Amino acid sequence: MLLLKKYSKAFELGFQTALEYRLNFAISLVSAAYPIIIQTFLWTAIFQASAQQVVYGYTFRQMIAYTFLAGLVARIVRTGFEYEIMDDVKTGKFSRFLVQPVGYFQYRLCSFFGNKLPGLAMILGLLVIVLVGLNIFWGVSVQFVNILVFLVTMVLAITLNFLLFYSISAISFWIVEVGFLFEGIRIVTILLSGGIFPLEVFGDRFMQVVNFLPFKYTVSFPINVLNGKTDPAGIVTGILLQCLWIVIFLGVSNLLWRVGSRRFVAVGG
Amino acid sequence: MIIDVNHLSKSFEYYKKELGLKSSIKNLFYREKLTKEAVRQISFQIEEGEMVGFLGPNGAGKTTTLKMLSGILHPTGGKASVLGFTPWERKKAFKMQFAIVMGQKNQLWWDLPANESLYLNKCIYEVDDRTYQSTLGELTELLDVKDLLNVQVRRLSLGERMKMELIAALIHKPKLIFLDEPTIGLDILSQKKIREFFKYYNREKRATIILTSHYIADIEDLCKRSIIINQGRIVYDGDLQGVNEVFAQSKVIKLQLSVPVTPKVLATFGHVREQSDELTVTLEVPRAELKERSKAILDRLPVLDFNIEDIPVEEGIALLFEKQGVPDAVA
Repeated sequence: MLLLKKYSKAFELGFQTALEYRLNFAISLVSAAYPIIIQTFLWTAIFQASAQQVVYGYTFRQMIAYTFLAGLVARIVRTGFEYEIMDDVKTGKFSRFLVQPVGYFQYRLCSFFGNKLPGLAMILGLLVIVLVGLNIFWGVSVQFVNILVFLVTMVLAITLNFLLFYSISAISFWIVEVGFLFEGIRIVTILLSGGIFPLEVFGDRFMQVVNFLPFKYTVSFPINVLNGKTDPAGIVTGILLQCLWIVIFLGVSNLLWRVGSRRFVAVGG
Repeated sequence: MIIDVNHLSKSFEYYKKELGLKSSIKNLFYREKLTKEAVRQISFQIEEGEMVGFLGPNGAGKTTTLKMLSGILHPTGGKASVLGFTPWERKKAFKMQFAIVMGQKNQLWWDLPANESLYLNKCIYEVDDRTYQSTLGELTELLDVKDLLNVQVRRLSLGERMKMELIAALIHKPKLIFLDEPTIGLDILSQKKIREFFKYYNREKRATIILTSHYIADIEDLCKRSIIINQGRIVYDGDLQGVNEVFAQSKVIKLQLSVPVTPKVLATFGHVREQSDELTVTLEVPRAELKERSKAILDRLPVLDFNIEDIPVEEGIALLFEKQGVPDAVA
């Protein structure tokens, strides 16, 4: 019981910190709207110039819906603790976790989910508004079952992205100043995950490769579950692949962190 | 015996970097690897309830030693047993019994009130509610910070923050406490308050306290026994009395003058240690005569600013060797 308590407290503190900076979060939401608006203009122009009704397998309405959803989902799964980890390692604060009876991974995971919760609630609210809006104005309807499955894939997506970036943040043990590297990696992963536009845009050969990479399963896949583009067989395969990648990255992050913290211990904090 | 250290050593690898852009570019392609022996073959024992000071100049190896004893660093060689454990194995039972406070590193959540962080530590160390309440009450009372528990840490002053750090470190009633420069950056009053707190804590709780500092006052005030480290070696281990004789023999007076005074005149007030320009002078005077000499200086010299200081640790150590006839090569 007391053992669980330390992690639930970490969760709570992450939650409180997020509330402490609620204005910051609200502003970040506004800034998230910005690329969505730009893309809406872009796609409008593309569809008008195109002779076809369907571009890359999407109708205009589907494309705009995807853009909105991608903006929101990418924001839900997004991490940010990698900078904190970099700071912990760089300033030696990480050593505190070596002397206290607490697991760094569990601690980070809990405080991360706590930190996500207020934003998550807000974005899910927005998502409902977007979905209802799409339904009323454009008649894009979403099956109730799809929403349920979507929520399942979202939890897996958040977990997968956490592990992905938790593994990446282990770079801090080898390179002292990695802020820009993280930013670069984030931009590439957001592109590969379909967080900006549908992966079909890149072409078939690219799709075949991306299907086997983990990134797609953090943004693109949940959206395609929600909008009904993925058939039941695809959903099952997708969820299995999500789980597979989660297991793989559990192993990878475990290994990297074990080697990394040994290095930290050797070099000194 | 609570701590037993045997020939403990630690060396780091680092890269040489010379001054200038040219060598920066050269460094991109080739870096000369060097080894720094931070701690060399040190051995000592510490009994339960002792309060021991680690004294030495910056970079002497004090912090490195503490980090090895608390399990943050792996040694390159040697053995250590702390509370019956090998620290760098980092067993949970070991972690539950000690605390380390580093004056330059904070563990409190910056954006939240201190009591949130304290409660987190309560959970981490699995302290039950009643013990937590009574410990918290006692510590906040002693350090006089009861009213500040609900203030965000970022709004606290440095001294207040340090007190909260101490409470956070002591909430699980550790048997052994490592303090690394706990008074660094604090004003004299806060330093004194924190020292008094440790004195009380050591006496009342029978907690073993190991303290590093490069302020002599910290050690002088707190520790009967001191271990002096220089360049990774223990150069003195024992009663502070012996050290005190050397350190406390003379005091340093720093003067800022409004009108130049000749060295000859200055010499009548004390030994001129340094005269960086005509108006800035450092004098050394015997401690016993400090009062009279200060008075004379203030009365007869055109003094703008006046400061009494201890002999710098580095020099004190050098003096110690002179006195004991230890060859300089060791120091």
